[in-house]
Amino acid sequence: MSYYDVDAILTDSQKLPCTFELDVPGLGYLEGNVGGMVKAGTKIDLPMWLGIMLAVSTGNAPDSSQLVTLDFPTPLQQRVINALKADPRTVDLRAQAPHFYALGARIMELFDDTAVLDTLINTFKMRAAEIADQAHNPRGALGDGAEFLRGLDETERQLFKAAHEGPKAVRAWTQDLKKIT
Amino acid sequence: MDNRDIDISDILAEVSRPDHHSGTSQSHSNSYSYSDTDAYSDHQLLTRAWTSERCAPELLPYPHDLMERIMARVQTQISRIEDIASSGPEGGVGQSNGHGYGQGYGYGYGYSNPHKPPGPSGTQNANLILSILQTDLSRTQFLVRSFLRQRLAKLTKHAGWYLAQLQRRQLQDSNVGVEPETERYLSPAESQFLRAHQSLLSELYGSSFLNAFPPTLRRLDDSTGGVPMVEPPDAGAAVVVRCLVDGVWSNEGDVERSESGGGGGNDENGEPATVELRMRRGEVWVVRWRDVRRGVERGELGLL
Amino acid sequence: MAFSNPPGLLPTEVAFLCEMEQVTIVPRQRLERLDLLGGTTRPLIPPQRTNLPLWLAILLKRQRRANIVPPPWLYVESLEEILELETKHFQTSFSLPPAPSSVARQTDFTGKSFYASTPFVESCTASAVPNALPYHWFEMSEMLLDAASDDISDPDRVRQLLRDVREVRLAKMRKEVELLSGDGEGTRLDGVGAMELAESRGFLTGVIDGLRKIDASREQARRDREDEERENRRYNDEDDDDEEDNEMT
Repeated sequence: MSYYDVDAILTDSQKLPCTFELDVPGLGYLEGNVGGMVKAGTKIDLPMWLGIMLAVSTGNAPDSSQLVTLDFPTPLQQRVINALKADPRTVDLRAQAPHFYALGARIMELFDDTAVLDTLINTFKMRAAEIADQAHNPRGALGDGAEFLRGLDETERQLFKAAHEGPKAVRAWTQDLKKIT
Repeated sequence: MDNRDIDISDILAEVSRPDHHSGTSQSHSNSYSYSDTDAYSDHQLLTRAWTSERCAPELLPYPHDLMERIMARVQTQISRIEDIASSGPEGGVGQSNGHGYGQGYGYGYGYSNPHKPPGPSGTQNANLILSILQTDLSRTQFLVRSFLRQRLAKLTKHAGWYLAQLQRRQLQDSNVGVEPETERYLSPAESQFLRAHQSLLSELYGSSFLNAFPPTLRRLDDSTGGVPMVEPPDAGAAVVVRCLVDGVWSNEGDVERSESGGGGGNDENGEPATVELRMRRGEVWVVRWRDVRRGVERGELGLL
Repeated sequence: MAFSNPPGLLPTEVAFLCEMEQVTIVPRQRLERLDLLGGTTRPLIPPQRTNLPLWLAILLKRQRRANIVPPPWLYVESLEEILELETKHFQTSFSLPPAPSSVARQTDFTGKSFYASTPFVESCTASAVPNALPYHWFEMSEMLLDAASDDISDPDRVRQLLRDVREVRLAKMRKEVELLSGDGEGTRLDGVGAMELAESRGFLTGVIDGLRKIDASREQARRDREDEERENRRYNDEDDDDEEDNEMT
């Protein structure tokens, strides 16, 4: 239920670079200039829900353009994408965005970019396999294992939890069986 | 195969039992005869209903007839167990309970058998039988309770959606001028629960904070803001199924039907299948719920 | 909330289901036929072997009123063969479960037919196939070793072999992750065990749903294209029919 889903709400509050295409009076407070005008060409980081609303709104004149155009947020820009293509498992996704994949999914709804999409999917799969391995063979709280786990985004944390809880529940059942006798 | 001896007391017991049946059964002579096969097949169906409800992301149609039969059988079994327990472990003929039950069903338990001597083995066996019956009963009760609780949980989680569906179905019935049919998806108790639940919740929200909002922002079913407030359960969730039918199963018909817009529509039948799938008997697949919903409802696939 | 578990059976529920599987016992005492809610049991006449649901077999075994006949796959030789199959012959998938029997269609109370499924399809009685692991193999073997280890020959070796089989299959399950996709075309898990499924389901469905969400927009575009193509084909077929009709007249 994404209306009430806290993760969805948090995802939508992540910021996007928005370039104003028109002069818009009164929105100056968005760049700290209260009461002033935002000139065309200004680029401001706005929360996604606001950016999208402005991007689908147009000016008052019949053939005027949209108010803002959107860009990829930092976590999904080329630098990060390249790092993910090189080795998805060494990138600290959490530092980029706590809801990295949710953000990615939203951005893919707005932009049609197959290359980025494929990288995201491959990243997800490779890191998921690593998560499964780590849940099964915990390399201890020290070393590479811990660093990787710290860098998991929210979705991956849920995956790790699932990978861990499943076998745990089975072990619990097996042990309880012996107690009944 | 059925080697149950036809005992005159069995026949008498059957005839004298009050008929609970609603009269919708086709073979009236079979009503509540509790023949071996029926209890076993109902048990299988109940088990499957429970497994399916536990594994499906959506509420499945309520199995009215099955539940009616199961509950009736449970009641009978409870009475039977009480009879055995209260009459003490000695068994023996003198203990008449005045029911037809004792005569007819005691047959198998060394209970009404006048030749079985009471004594240590009789006592032990009666206790054993009692504990077996009780274990069997509590197993069935577990299935029923877990089944109902799972359904309630689903109803509560998407209450707004299920209520809207319920109201739409009833509106359709009354528009056509038809007497509202037995609600297919919910039991009468569940329909009642759903209405009461939403009504209480709305009142609570209203008095707690909603009524302090501007009038246009007080609704709980608003869809105008881009994200709808009332969402259906996720029909695209991954489920695991096993193919049960011979030959090749396919959901082609369901996918096509949904496109032509006939009968696979979005209201009562839920979201239509979108991916074409093919399976052979015994295969186990992880697929999307909406692509196999029809297959599961028709008993062609089993949820795991 | 009435019930906050995610979809899917828990290990305890899987075990509950397994307890409905039929096993073969050798009764040591007589017992009349019983009309249970789970079906009618056969009368027990020592020393005739009879099939009963596992829960009842264990109940009787604990009271020393019966011995349990282990299913043919729970023997050292059988498990060694199965381990061989799992390791050498089925390297990426699970070894085959017992073939579905032909007598699976039953009728219910109203005369409607339905297909029987686990745990009501015999796979753990004395007449089961010895070189295939049935759906409930894990929990069945755990429960039998726990309640009736004296009825099983060389139980320690059996336990070891079961552990080995489990490890091999667990590794395969983890490899499955790489084959998952979010496009709904499906992933096959033929031969997976009930408890194994309960163990891995959360993770597997989490990965699939995660992939699905990332790919959602592309998938929508693809569906729209496919629907269009289907529509076009239908129009073309209709045109061809019209042309044929014209030719015939």
